[in-house]
Amino acid sequence: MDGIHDMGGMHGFGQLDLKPEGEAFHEEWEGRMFAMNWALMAAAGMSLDAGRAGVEQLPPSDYLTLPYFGRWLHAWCRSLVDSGVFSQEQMNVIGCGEVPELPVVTRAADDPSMATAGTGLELALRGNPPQRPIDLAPAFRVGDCVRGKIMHPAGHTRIPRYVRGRQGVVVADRGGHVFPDTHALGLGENPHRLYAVRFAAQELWGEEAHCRDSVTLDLWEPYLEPA
Amino acid sequence: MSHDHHHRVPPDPALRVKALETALTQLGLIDTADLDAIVDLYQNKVGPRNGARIVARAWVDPEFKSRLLQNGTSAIAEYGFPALQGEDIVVLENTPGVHNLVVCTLCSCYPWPVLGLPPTWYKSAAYRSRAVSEPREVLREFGIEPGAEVEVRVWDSTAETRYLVLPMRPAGSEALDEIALAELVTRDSMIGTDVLPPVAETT
Repeated sequence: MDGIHDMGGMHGFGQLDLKPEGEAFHEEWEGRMFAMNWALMAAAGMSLDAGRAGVEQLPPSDYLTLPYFGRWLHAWCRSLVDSGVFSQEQMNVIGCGEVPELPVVTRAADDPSMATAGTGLELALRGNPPQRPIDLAPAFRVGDCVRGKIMHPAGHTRIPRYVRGRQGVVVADRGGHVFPDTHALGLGENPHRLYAVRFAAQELWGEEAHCRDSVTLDLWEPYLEPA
Repeated sequence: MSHDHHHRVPPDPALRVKALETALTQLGLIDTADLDAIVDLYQNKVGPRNGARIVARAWVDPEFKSRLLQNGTSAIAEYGFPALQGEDIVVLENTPGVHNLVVCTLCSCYPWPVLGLPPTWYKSAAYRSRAVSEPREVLREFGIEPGAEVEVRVWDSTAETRYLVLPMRPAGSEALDEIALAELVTRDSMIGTDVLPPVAETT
């Protein structure tokens, strides 16, 4: 979706704030939210694409004002209601920092749902490889000129606005990768070939950009057309 | 009326996260010990020292460097770091003619196995918006100025490919061994927002 998250090239956010920081998590709740995210992903078999899509659907004003892990909290609160884990009333209580009335669930060790769902730690250790075999011949070769398609999808996508309609050159074929646009919607992995495509800075930003500079993005085949 | 429940200001996120964790634990969906282990992993065991080991080895071991640039994922897999967000790693070599800079404009993708979790500035709107369109101004705020003859090559992490910059080995470091070299490697040099100074200036 063409949301506030698609920030490449926007003006108005000011200078960088480079104050030194040492810890991975600045406050304890950030670490808990981070860990809860992966534990829930592992338990629900939810995809990272769906998680990103959830964050993108935050109202723009919330997206800009919430701290990074606060966005994760808001996205999960919505997702856990949408998926029926909590009622809206129960979530309202959680939103007030209190624990709602809930049935206490104890699962037997041989419960099949416990056998299939890994832990968040296992997910962190083993990762979640995106590469998939793909039989289709590549539509593009390294060195080909391509153009980012002009599109305006309401759902999740990973082609930023700033390369749509712009011409670049394929610099690498990364093979088949899970396609986020369908995966985020639960419509399957639908693997497509992924290419690294290099765009001259002046093609993207005009002649004031430095003549030698470039931006390289990883773009799936359906995002591209021959140029 | 002033006690209307709906008009309460949402509490500190810490309280909401705690309530959510407690509720999900009661439902049996998550396990506190699992969360503790994940926090410990990223707080204490994964961070830019991992990447620094890779960089230092690449500086002293040409055969490793060749494999690293050919297939970063498999070369780094030898180290056994936690794999999440490093399932497809591409290593970018800085040279006198090319300075690589990594960003994620759409969220904040970052190579966790080798760098840990990203610093706040990497996740900021200012960095995400500007790194692609005015990289030289961004680099100037970090105190580095690639010459006009250098290509600044920005990489926007739009897929699951994660980028690790292999910085240039500092001048004057010829006598140092791999462990001492790793000490010189900064986190930012592996994102592309730092250039390692000559050794004489760092000691």
